[in-house]
Formats: sequence, structure tokens, C-alpha cells
Amino acid sequence: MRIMRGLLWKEWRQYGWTFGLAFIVISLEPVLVPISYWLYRVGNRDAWSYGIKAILAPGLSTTETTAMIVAVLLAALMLAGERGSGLNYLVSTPVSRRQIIVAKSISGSLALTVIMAAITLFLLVAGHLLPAQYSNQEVLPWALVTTAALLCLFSLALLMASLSRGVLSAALFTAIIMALPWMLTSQILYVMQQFYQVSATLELKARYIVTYLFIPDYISRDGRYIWDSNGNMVIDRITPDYPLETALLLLAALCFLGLAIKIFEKNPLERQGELLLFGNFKQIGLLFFSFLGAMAWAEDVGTSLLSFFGYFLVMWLGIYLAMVLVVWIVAWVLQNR
Amino acid sequence: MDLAIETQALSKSFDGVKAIDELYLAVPAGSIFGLIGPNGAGKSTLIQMLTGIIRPDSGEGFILGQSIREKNGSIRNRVGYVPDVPVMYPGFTVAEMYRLGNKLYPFWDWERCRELHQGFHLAEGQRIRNLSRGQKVRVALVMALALRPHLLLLDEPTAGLDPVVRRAFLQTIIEEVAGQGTTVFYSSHNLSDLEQSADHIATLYRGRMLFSRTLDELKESVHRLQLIFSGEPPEDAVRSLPGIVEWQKSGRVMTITVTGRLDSICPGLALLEPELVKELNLDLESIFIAFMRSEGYYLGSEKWEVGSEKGKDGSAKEDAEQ
Amino acid sequence: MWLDINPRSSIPIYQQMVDGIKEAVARGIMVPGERMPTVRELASELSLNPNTIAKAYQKLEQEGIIVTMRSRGTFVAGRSTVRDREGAKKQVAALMEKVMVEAYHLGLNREDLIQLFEASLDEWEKGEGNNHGFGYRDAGAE
Repeated sequence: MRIMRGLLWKEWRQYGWTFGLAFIVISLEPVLVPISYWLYRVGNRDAWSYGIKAILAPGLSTTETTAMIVAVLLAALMLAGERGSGLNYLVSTPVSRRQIIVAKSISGSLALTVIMAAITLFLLVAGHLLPAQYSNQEVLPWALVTTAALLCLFSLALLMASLSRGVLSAALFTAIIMALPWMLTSQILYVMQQFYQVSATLELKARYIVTYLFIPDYISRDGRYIWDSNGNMVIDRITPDYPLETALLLLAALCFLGLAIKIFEKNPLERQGELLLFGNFKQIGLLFFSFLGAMAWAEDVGTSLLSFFGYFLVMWLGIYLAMVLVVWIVAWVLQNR
Repeated sequence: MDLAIETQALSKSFDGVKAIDELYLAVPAGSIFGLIGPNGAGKSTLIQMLTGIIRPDSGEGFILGQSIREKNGSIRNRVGYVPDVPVMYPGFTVAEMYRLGNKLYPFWDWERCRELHQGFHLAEGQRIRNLSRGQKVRVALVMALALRPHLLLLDEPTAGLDPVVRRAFLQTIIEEVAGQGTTVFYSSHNLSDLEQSADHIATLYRGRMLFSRTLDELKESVHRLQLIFSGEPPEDAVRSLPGIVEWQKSGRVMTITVTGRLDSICPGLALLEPELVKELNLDLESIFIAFMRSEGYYLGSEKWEVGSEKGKDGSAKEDAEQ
Repeated sequence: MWLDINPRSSIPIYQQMVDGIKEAVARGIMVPGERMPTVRELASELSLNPNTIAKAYQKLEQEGIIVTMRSRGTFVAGRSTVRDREGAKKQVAALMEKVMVEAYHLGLNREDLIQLFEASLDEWEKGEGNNHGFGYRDAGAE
């Protein structure tokens, strides 16, 4: 549609430089550093590919971590960063809210994909032409899953940005939500281990499921074990089953997009400092942190599962109320300044 | 009668406070409709609900016949909007904003855009963030008109503009209405602008509509009279005059503001047996201040007694029945 | 146009226009057959609401001061279109009463009033041309 083209033009005109910066930052290690090796003819003939080998290997390299941070910040910037300026204008034009979010999703995702594609191309071509410490077969699986993971993260961040007012709070919330499955499972397992004998199989199963919910694990390949009939651990999924994993990631990305559209269609733009949905968000945040705090406290104090639950419930309520009081007092003090 | 804007029991609250309270509004197509009211009355909130920036809590609203709850953006194809503080995209140049407008609006007219741009003495290459507020308002107005609107929504457009720009602004609006039949709905504190250009006036106070009438009717139905008495002025009798809004006593002289047509007021006045009756000039600003005073909103030390509910209710009901 | 409109007056703008144009025609500043500016032209020139101007034109046409000829424009009507002589008399009588009330309060008497009226009439006749042709001259013809 003509309008979508217009919106995409706007996103490009607005964030073109940012996309360029993102490219430079992400491709520093895999592209720019090797090029400098060539220019200065440092080390062995394949020394240039040392960094790349680390990237392709399991585990999170600096580049991969940087790329994740960039993906999150990009989404936060593109949506939460536009509140109070361009967004107020845009919403009064013949553009629907859905189109606004979709345009941002497309531009950001496209930018990330192009960046990854460029890096991939470089790796393949250089790996083909020059002696390298990595093989070209490693490149594609890594590229596919990493790109899909970045798109998923971008989408999640866009969703969080549709709820929050500022760039930083959007980024923070994204990090929290992203880590949530891992945090919760770890906590629950730890608690259970205090009072029960948790079988290794159960623990393994739980952790296995969590690795599919924790986005960075797709990139780092952590936790991708399968056990055999004896209950022994067999490391198997380092090489990704990429149809499945890519599909999962992209599906999740689409779900986040759908949610983001729904939320953005519902909420009003900021009005004189009133934060969007922050009322609810504040409650959820307080509930969440008091939940964690209560859990940690109850673990230490509880002697059996029952007493644990008892303490946990009481402490959850107590810490929550205490936090609410603190927030209220702070607001009152600030108001009467 | 075609209504360019219509609302039915429109309501919106923020933090439990009703910014717009069961509002009924009817703006005829082709009119220049002025919305006045003190700060915080809800004018900006209303306009933002009409443009889709804010969603109503309850009630219905229609612009150019389409519901404001409509998710599809195409209802705004023919609606130009100039906010009180236009922000747009600070990093874009003026020319790029026009390009954006062209891409978003299906009926964008480059000829008109150029014409207005030159008429307002704007520079294409300047970045939005470097423009003064007056220049930003002008850019926003150029864009609002270049899209060939059927409806213009303006939120305090001339606030803070110098008289030269303000005059040009009004001139352009009037020409647009005269030439294209565009409906203009604008909120303003500048009552003399409205007096000159508006044919309808509505007053908002605390989210409620105090009255909504044609300007001519308003002027013909509110009068300020000076009654000179030979003895002590009959305050009680004045207090119970039908349509009394407020009165002020000074010696043997009572100055009253009263609603109703002059010929229907006169018999009541005659009963008071004043020595002399003189009509004072009431401009829109004075009418507005008098109504605000009767609502309890006033500052300063002018001492006026405020009339009974009767006078106000009568006129408010008339408006609802229209 | 030379119309002197005061938007801040209690008198609605359309009424001021009607009165102003009527006066202009009466004084001969505007002559029968003269073309009136279009609503749009006038709105632009005076920076006034076109609906208001349209309303004024409507009223003037009702009272027979101007006449609109489709696709040719609006023109000042000839004087002969005074239709309701009795109604006209009543209107002027009402105006006269206002003058007399004012005069009473100001302490003028019958002689003063007659003097003033005749002086006004003389002044009026001396004014631009004779195309306003007061009816009283043709009273014999009625």
C-alpha cells in the first residue's frame, strides 16, 4: 500500500544512520577486524579468522552479545524514543496504529537481517577464498539461528516499548522478560531441592525446556542436551535443528508483534507526564520483585515445604506492602518539594 | 443538516478526574466553530480524542460521519490537525515533512503546498528543531491545508503568534472556508479572533458544555444593561429576574447581565421601574467572563453577585434541544 | 469594501453589514444596478466569516435591498421594490419612538425635535446626488 511505503520511507529517513551505526558495531569483530588484519598483514595466514571462530563456536561471544543489545536498543529507540515527538504527529495522520508498528517492525527486522546477511556473505566469501580457522559449513546454521534470535529479541523489545515510556525502561523490561523463564525455573528448582530430592532427570528436563524459552541460548547453544535411555547426558544439539529452532523463533517474533499491535492500538499517547499503562506496570513490577524477595527469604527460613509456603505467602504480602508504602512516601516527598 | 463533528455522551477521565464529561457536540459542515474555555477545561483533550490521539472512555464521536473509534486510519484522509505545540519530526527538514505529508495523504496538493509555503515565508531547508514556535505552527498549517481537508482541527493555533502572522493565519482559514467549504473547528483563548471569524461558539468548562450557539444568537441573547433608579435599587427583584446571570450595584445604579431577547426582557425590567435603562456593549470576551463568573470561575476583585440557577439552566436546556 | 464592521460590538456582524449596506444605498454610495462583491470576495477582503456574510446577503435580499441573478451575480436593487408600505411605516415609527424616549430623558421638547428632524432632512438631501430619491418627493404619485 502507498501508505506503508510512505511509512517505510520515514523509518529509513529517520533511522538510516542508526542502522548504519548498528552495522558497524555488530560487524566490528567479524568483518572490520579481519579486514584490518589483511591491511596490516598481521600473524599467520589464517590469523584473521581467529575471532570469527570464537563467534561461530558455542557460547556467547562479544559480537553476539553486542548484537543482542543492539537489537533491543534499536526497537526501544524506534518506538519508545519517538513518543512525545513524531509519534504524536503520526497518530493524527491517516495511518492506523497497526501500520505504525508493522512499519517499524519491518524496517528494524529488515535492517538486522541485512546486517547479518552482509556479515554472512563476507564470512562465506572470505572463508572460500582464504585459509581460515572455520569451515563454511558452520557459517550458515549459525547465521540462520542467530538472525532469527535477533529478530525475536527485536520483536520482544518492540512489544515492551509499546508499553513503556522511555528507551531505557523499554530495554530494561525486555531484559527482565527475556530472562524470566530462566530465573523462575532456577528459583523453583532451587526451592524444591531444599525440601525434596529432585531427580537429575527432572532437573534436566526442566532446564532443557527452559533453554528453548531463553533466547540467548539459541545463539550460545547452552543446555542443548539430550539424554539416552540410561539417563546419561548426551550433548547433541550444538548444531541446531535449524528448521525447528528458526521456526520457533520467528513464530515467537510474530506473536510478540501481534501483541504489540493490540497494545499499541489500545493505549493513549502520553499526556502531561502520565505514563502509559505504567500504573499497571508498576503493580506488576512490585509484585514481581516482592515475589523474588519473598522466595529468597522463605527459602532460608523454611524447614519443610509447607512452612516454606507459609512463610513465602506472608513475606510476599509483607514485602509487597512495604514496597508500596515506600513508593507512596517517595511520591509524596517529591510532590511536596 | 450535515454535521462535520458530532459527539454523544463523550467521556474521558484521567486519574479519576473527568476531563470530558458526557459531552454532546454538533458542528455543522462548512462552519467556523470556536471552542472557548478556561485552561484545563478539556479543550485539548476533546480535540485529541477527535483526531484519535486519545481514546474515549465512553460515548461516541464522529468526524465527517465516521466513528472516532475506527481503527482504520483512512477516516483522517481529509482531516487536517494543528496541535497547540506542533512537534513533528525534529530531525526532518521542512521539505522532508512535506514529502512525508505527500506520502501519507492521498489528496495532497503540491501546488497548494508551495503557494502556502511561500505565502507564509517559510524556508524549505530548515530543520524542524531549529524553527521558532510560530514557524512550526505555520508549517503545520501548510501541511494541514495542503492535504485538501474537509475538516480542520486547530488547537490554540494563534497562541503566542505575532499579530502579523495571526492575521495571515485567519485570512488563510477564512479563504479556505469560503473557497472549499472546509469546516474549521478551533479552540482559542483569543476571543477577538473568534469574534471576527467564528459563526458558532461553544464553551467548555470542567469537561462540560456550558453553551453552544451561533455567535449571532449569543450576542442577541445576552445583554448588559445599566439601570438607574431614583431610590434604592431593588436587589431582590433583580435577583429573581428570569435569565439573570449577574448583577452589580453601585449607589443608585445597577448593572446587570441577563440572557434572553431584549423584547422579552423589557417587560420584566419595566416592573422594576427604573428611571433610565441603558444597554452597554458586550463583546465576546465580556460574555465569556460573565458566564465563567456565574460558574464560580473568576479572579480579581470586581464584585458581582451571581444569578440563580434558573437563568443558566434555561439557556443550557435550549442548547441541548437544538 | 468600505464597510466599517466592529466584531466586538454587541450588534451581530451580519446586522452591522445589513445596516451598513442599507445606509450606503440610502446615501447613494451604492447605486441600483451596481454589482455587489461575492460572498467569497467579501469574506477574503474583510477577513470575516463567509457564512456571516451569506446571512447578511440573505437578509438584504429578503428586504429587497439587493437581488441575486443566477450566474450573473448580486446587484443592488432598484428603489421601486418597497413592497410593504404599512410595514415600513411601522418600522420607522418604532425608530422614531426610540429617538423620542432618548430626547425626553435628555430634556428636549417638541420644537427641538422638529427642528432637528428638518435639519437632518435638509442635510440628507444635500448629500450625493438625487438617486436616493426620497419617497416623500413622489408622495403625490403614490
